[in-house]
Amino acid sequence: MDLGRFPLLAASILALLLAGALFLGLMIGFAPLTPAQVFAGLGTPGGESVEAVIVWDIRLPRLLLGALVGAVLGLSGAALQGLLRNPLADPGVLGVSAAAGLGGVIAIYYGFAASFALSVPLFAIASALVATLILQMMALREASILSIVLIGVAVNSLAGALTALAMNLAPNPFSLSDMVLWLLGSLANRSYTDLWLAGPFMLLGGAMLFTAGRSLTGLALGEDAGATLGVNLNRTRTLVIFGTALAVGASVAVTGTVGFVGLMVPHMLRPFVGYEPGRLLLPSALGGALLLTLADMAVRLSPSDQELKLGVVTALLGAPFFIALVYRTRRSMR
Amino acid sequence: MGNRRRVVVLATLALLALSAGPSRAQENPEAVSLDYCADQYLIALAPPEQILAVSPTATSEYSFLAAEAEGLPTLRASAEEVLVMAPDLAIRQFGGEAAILPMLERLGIQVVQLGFSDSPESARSNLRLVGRALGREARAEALIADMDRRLAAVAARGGERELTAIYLTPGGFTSGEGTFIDAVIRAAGLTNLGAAGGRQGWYDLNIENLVMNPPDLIIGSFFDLRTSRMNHWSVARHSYVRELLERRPSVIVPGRYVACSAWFFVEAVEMIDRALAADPRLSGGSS
Repeated sequence: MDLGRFPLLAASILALLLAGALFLGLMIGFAPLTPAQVFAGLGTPGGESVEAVIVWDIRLPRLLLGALVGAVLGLSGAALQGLLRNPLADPGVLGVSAAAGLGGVIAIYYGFAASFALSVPLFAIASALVATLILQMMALREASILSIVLIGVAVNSLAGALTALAMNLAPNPFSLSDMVLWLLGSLANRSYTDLWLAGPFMLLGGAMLFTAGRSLTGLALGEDAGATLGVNLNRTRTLVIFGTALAVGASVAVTGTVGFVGLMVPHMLRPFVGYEPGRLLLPSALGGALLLTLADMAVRLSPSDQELKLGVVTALLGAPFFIALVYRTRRSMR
Repeated sequence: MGNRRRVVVLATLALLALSAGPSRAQENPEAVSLDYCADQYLIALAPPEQILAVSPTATSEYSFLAAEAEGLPTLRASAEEVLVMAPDLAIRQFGGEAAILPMLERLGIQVVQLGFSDSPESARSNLRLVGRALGREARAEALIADMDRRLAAVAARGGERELTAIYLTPGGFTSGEGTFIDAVIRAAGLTNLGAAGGRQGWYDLNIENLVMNPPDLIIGSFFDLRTSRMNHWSVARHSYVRELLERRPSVIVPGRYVACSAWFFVEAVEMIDRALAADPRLSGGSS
């Protein structure tokens, strides 16, 4: 069936799958609770019982945060691919996530976070914005797919090196595992504090990206063609750049850099919803949320003694996907 | 003629070296230490005139004898810096690289490599090892006797407390069997929940496990360090754990008591013992 003619149908199917995954996510955890116990806990919000605490204080915030982060990553991937007209665009590949991670590390290691908790998302957002602006500046001059990805590689390695430097100079030797998590990403031990801290920024950024949707479709034909269709290019650019910086910056501030979601999801959904960037946004957000919810479930189900890192799971899925994508698009890249 | 003079000079030098060697080693050799844990042994056992240098972290906030280390010369744990200082003895637990030790020994510097201690017994043997090398056996035995006396006093007061405890760091780690912290918890007469089911070593404390098996006492350490930033993903950042730390009996042990797993861990044991005695919820027995 060609769902391209029914974008709402595709979105509804994804929404149903997401609801199912979230429900399963509530059931699964390190504590072997039976479904009956989970329901009992679910029925007593704010309760003091073990079940209520595990369901409401531990599993629910982690699930909601994971879904929200996945949604904004899928969404910003789809929007960046539309704006840059580049199939390899993704906040992780282009270094936006790594730059946001650097901002978060600076906020924490130079003591801003201790006095002002909001400084972590704010620094991450500002830092992501710098990376996005650099990308856009370069993309204006040189539109080849390959050169944009190479700029992303450079931004990625610079941000990674500076993050490592900040950790390297950290004034005591007990914080190395912290660095690994900034570079890999994880949802471990997330609580409502993190959700309230970063959620509003992610929602605002997401709303900006959705607003840009229709113009992105116009842009798909090229900037000149878009202009004749009445697309205000500057407004679209601003919306996508600031929206991505807000959404990705805030998500990285609470989960670290979780890569490849924004790359994989739009590509997997494009055949189903058609090739209009604007139509791809909602399904990509839902698909991103679904993918991250499933990946975090894999993390929690893995039988290893140490919890797997979420970023490891998405990279294991995403990196081969990236290679296949490069192989398929290699001719159009030059 | 020139040749004979050269031989005489060499012979004299050799004699000097021979006579200097044993006599320097016999008495109280001058020593350097290569990391802040090795520093503790050197500072505690040797008088200042026997200390050539300690590591730069000897005065850090996680160093137990930081106050005593104030003003001592420092060196970084590289072979070059040690050789330039030309000590008789170098003490190391983990500083620098182990690869420099054979080089130092080849050049006539005695090396003491401390084992990582995981029990009061290994804390004793480390003290004796350094004491012997420094010619300060009596001082080492005095420290051991003091530690044993204080441990015995806690054991006598606490007996077998029927209470459980879990250990937590800002990094979100807890400790299972075979760790020094496990020994500290047992020395205070408590059962270490982190070692339940025979779990070994250090691992991330899982929050759902913590909710399922709440401890009577939470023992935290390293939360005091000014230079430490809590791991952004630590279980200790979770709102539920923060609340638990406020609501349930907990004792925050200064990081410098336990950072080296050395004889001064007895300070941590005594602190836990005092906290147990002072808390009416715990002094009466099981909660």
